[in-house]
Amino acid sequence: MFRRLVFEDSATLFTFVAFITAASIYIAFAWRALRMKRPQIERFENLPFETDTPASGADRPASAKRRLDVSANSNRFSAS
Amino acid sequence: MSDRKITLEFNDKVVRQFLLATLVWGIVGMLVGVFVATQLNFWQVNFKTSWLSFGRLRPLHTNAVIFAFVGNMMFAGIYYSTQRLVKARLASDFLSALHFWGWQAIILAAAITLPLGLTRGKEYAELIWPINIAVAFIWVVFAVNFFWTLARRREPSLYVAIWFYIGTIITVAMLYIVNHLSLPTSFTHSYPIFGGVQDALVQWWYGHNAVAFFLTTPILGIMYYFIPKAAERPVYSYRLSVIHFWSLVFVYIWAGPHHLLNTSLPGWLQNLGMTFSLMLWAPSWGGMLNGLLTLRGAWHKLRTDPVLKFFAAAVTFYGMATFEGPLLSIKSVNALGHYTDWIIGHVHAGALGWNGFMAAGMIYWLLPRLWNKPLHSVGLANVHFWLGTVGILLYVAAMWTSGITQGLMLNATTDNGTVLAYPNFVDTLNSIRPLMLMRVIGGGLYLTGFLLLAYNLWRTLRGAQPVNGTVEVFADEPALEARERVGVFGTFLNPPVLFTSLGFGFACAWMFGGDGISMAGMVGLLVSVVLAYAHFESRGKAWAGWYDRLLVNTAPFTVLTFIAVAAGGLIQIVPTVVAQKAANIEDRLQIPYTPLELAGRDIYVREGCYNCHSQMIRTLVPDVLRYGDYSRLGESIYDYPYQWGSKRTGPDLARVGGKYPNVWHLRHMEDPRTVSSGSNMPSYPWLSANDTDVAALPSKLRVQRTLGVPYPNWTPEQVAARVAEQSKAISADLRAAGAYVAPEKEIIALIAYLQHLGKSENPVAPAKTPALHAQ
Repeated sequence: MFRRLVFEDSATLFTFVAFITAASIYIAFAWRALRMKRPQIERFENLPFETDTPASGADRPASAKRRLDVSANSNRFSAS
Repeated sequence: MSDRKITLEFNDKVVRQFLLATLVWGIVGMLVGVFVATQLNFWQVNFKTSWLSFGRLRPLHTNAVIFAFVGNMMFAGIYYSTQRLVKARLASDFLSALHFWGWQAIILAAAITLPLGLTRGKEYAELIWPINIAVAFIWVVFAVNFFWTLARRREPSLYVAIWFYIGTIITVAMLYIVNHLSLPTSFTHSYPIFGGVQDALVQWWYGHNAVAFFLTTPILGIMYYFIPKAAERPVYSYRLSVIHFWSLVFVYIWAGPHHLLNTSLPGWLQNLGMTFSLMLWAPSWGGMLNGLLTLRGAWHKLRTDPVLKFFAAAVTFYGMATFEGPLLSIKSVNALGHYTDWIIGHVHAGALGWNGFMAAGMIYWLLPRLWNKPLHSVGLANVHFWLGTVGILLYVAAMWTSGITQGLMLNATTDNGTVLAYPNFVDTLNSIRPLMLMRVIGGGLYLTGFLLLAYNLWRTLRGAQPVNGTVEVFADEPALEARERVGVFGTFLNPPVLFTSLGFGFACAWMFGGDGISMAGMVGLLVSVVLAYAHFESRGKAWAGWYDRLLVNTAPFTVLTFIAVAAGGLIQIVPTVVAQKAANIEDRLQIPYTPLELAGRDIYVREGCYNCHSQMIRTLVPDVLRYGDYSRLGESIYDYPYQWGSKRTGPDLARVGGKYPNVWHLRHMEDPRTVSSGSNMPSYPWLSANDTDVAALPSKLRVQRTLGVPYPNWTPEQVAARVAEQSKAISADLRAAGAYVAPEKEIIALIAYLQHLGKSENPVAPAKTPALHAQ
């Protein structure tokens, strides 16, 4: 058992098999993914947005809000 | 099903708890990191105190950052996103609370036991066996809570983030249990059931995949949920995320041996590890690009939104780290980088950049949502980002430069490669001292950033009210339609699984069998591939239909993912355990330690010497010139745990036995600088004050015998007599050299152990290879 491992110099064999294994997986799942239908993909990719995750009161941090207020005021000022 | 709707309230309390724990333990872990980095520059900071020494604190740093910081962050992110993705409250409030408090108790136990020197002596697997059992138990609690929640879900489809979470839960359980299999010798001490080369392989199968499945896959799941949410647009390519998941899960698990390149690990394993590591470039970069391109159309938000800044930088660091990992797995690059600071720079690009920044981004995003109050200061968050970024860059650039400098100096030769250019190891250490100092500054900046986050969080939480998220769902849980169910038979008895199993079996026969079996395996594999292709051509819909149903059936999906990750480990570990054992060694075979030497070895492990010293002379000319003949796997076959190490802040010790007199070792341990000018090694005065625990030896020897080390069945009296005889001889030798230490002191046992290193026997002459016969 495991004669090849212990006694044989099988460097090329194992790197080759590693490559074939990894490549097979990539190809198989790339094929599978490419065959997915557009509606199916849209359904999956929008799952995170099906449940609202509102930030309290405002999404923006207080400091950003302050900055926006200042900016809005200055715009008003310049507009007038 | 009725149309009545109800409002479901999520369990966000446990998310808040994990979030706060993330920050607390993160700061603790980073603080210890900066402290140990300072110790490398200034040995005095070890304070000649056992529980403050580098060897004991470095495992505290790594465990705190991995399991406490990233662990808590992962649980917060998983619990928050899973509830929303599957539209179900966590299945059990009790299990959620048990998970949280159990995990914190484990961290606390680790923080106490590691500085006390209670360790298993394996990197990132140092915790003692009672804590290991607690970890396994709490992980099962987590798994039950998670899968129970999935079972009660109101959304049949499983978003890709959930796939990554499933892969994480089952793979970490498998890795942790296998690598922590131990036989206890007391309540606080055990020996792993694997020794020598087997232990090395299992350890790095675990160690590498701890990075893969604890620090990467759960965070990728978090990336796939939180980046689209923060950018307010779907993931760039869901197709790419599917390829990303499956290829990572299948390929990552094989890459562990790249931590053992050019060592005495069998060549076929090194080749597998290297090749699969290179294959990881594709999925890692696919995932990285998918994360970054999700920000398409939202790049302008990066100017003002610190959350997206952190996420974008984190994904970029993920790309950098996952480019560097495969690069370092190329044998010739590894010959330069391994055992040097380059590896430290590599892991910190991942830990600080990827994990730390994902954590920061997630925390900043969650704070206003979990406490119903806007973040106190976006300006401070931006300062945090820039401090962290500059800190990482300083750290990583310093470690790259340091590693390459030290690697080049250690490997440099003159006189046509026959003489070392820098024979004194300390010369190479002194040349990187400025860079080691820059690391402290970089780490300090990064830590300061997280302190700002803590302040920002505290100011945000002051006066804030915790709030739980809600969702409106139909009162009745939707049941899967019969045509969507897979069931037990459907899980295994379907064309993709059957043909894959058939091909896999034949491939194993081809790879591992003797002449006839190997040929049959090769033919069988070819036939399987042809038959599978023919079947796919004629019944392609059956293959696709099975896959689509798999994505809404949690149990079969989990079982098959487990088989996928287990296969890679089994193919590497089973042949090694069966073939690479003492009975099959025809080259040098280790001489078992005497009882005193075994006690000394346990002291070596307790003090964490493996954090700075390797015991593995690689099959490289500079290593052999510097340390002696390259290490054979038989020379550490009785080492439970193995101590090959992964970093050389000091020189290799595989053949240090007999190189120096006993008194040199005594002086060296008392104050390294008296015999090695410029050394940054801590002093170990307590070893000359503490007595060796001889009473524990009979139990330890009994366990070693059970593990296969050829010890006679000594009585405790015989053990004590042997210890006394050898320790008195060393003590007398020290007295003759002008230094006296009582025989019962720990330093005597440690000297006995160090003087044994490199001692082996060769029971059978090495078999001549066929090639040599032919000549």
